[in-house]
Amino acid sequence: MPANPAPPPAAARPPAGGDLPPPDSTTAVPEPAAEPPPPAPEPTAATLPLAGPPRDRPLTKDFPQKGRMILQSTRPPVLETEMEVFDKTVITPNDRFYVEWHAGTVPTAINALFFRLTVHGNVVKPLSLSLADLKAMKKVEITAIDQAPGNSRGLFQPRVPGIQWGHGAMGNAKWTGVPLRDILTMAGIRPGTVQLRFKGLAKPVPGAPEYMKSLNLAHAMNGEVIVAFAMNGAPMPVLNGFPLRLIVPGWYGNYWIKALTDIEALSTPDDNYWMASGERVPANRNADVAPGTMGFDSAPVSRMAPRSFITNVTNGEKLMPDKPAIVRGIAMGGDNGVARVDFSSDGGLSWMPAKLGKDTGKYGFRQWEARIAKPAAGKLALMSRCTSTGGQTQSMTPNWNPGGLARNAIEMVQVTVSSPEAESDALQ
Amino acid sequence: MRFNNLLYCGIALGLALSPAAVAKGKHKAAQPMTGETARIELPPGDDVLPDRRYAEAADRNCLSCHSTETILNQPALSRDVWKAEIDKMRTVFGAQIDPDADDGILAYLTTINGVRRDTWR
Repeated sequence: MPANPAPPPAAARPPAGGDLPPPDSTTAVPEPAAEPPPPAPEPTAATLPLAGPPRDRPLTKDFPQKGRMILQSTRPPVLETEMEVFDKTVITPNDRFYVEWHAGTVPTAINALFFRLTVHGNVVKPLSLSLADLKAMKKVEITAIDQAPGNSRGLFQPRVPGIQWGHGAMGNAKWTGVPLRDILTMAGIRPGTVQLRFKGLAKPVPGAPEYMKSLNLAHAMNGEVIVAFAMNGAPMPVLNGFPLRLIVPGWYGNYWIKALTDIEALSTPDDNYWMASGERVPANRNADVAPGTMGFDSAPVSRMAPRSFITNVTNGEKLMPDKPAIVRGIAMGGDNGVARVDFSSDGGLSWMPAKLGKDTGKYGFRQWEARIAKPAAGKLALMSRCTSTGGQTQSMTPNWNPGGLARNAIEMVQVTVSSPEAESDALQ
Repeated sequence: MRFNNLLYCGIALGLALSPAAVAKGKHKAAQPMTGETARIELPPGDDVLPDRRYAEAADRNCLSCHSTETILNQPALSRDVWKAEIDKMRTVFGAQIDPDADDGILAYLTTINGVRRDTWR
């Protein structure tokens, strides 16, 4: 191997925005000059678009089975995905997929031969299933977004305590596994069962409640909820839940129990801490309450809402005046598909429909693209707005709740349009 | 320290682990066990907070569950908000925090890096 391998030719690099059809001639951006710029040095820190400081986070490659990630917490491991990852493909690679664990003991050694998934409680026939048992069952595949309910907490105003996430506590993967319905049918759910409760290998700190989440029986039996053993065609990274993860399409990732090992059929509604007290939001459509309100009706944070993000332009970036600019991003419909995405370059005063990329299923990311024909000099507030197939549209006003959960408002990226000549004039 | 989850899982399920496999798992955590074991090593993280003026109480009471990054990344919040967080850690999550430590922890959280953090409530 040569000491200084030549960089790959430009043509060999994957095109950005690879999930969209090639731009037609009217939207084509002129090719850059023939001489490729030298590769930029690898960044060591990321700046998140939070409501206040501190906004900088180190980038780390120190975590097993993970590439470059934004470090939120070492212990327990909490890692955020960089926005540029979402710009490259609507499927988030396993080694760049976000990670979140609660305080306590994270499973770090799992023997795939000895691992068992137990099904017990109000069932006819309790089960203890090996991975081989599960892999011998009928397989299904679903593309779905795993998003932490606290994604974007760092943008809440007034600020709230907790992991100060930017927008990268989310990822979209193709999950392969067995429908939960088939496992429950094998166990024989007894009459009177109201909920199924799920638990993984993670252990809380001594004295803290065990982490468990429950789904209503009808939801658990809907055929879309699966027990997955593969993520994007490979075994899951340990930090993403190897060897089994519950996949609840359209619902927040706190239900997606990692290293799933225990399913219990309950004949009364689950009253454990993480259903009855923790991870709850105002019981209204937008999980919204006026800051400081006490004693509001609450419900477990569950169904996701439509969201959208700009992925190829970041805050503070400079655009050239009078030169067409392509703005690109991703959208999600929440517990529905993406019906449309609209784009604004004037802070939401006027909107134009964005072009949508390939539909890879209602629960996955969908790429979108818009064009600013002639950016005028000055500051531009770029926004995208998703409307789901369920008819829900992102709003301009952010929701607020004390947990910093379920943010889903229209997000903004601010850029400056100025020519290099104008800048050098200003400096003189 | 970290528990060997396989060991505990194995005991819970009543699996017939061979004595050799148990011993290996218990005493030599870095060695692979029999079968296809997925094993990872996580970076340890820091054991002390920077800015030592008030850090001792925070080191002693917070770092067993939260890493330094999580604490240092918190926004400016009032003493009342942080007091409620400490109470939640104590009553909900079983944290053994000596009541005498509250003032020291609050002093750290409201003055991280010397900035007075009481902008809300």
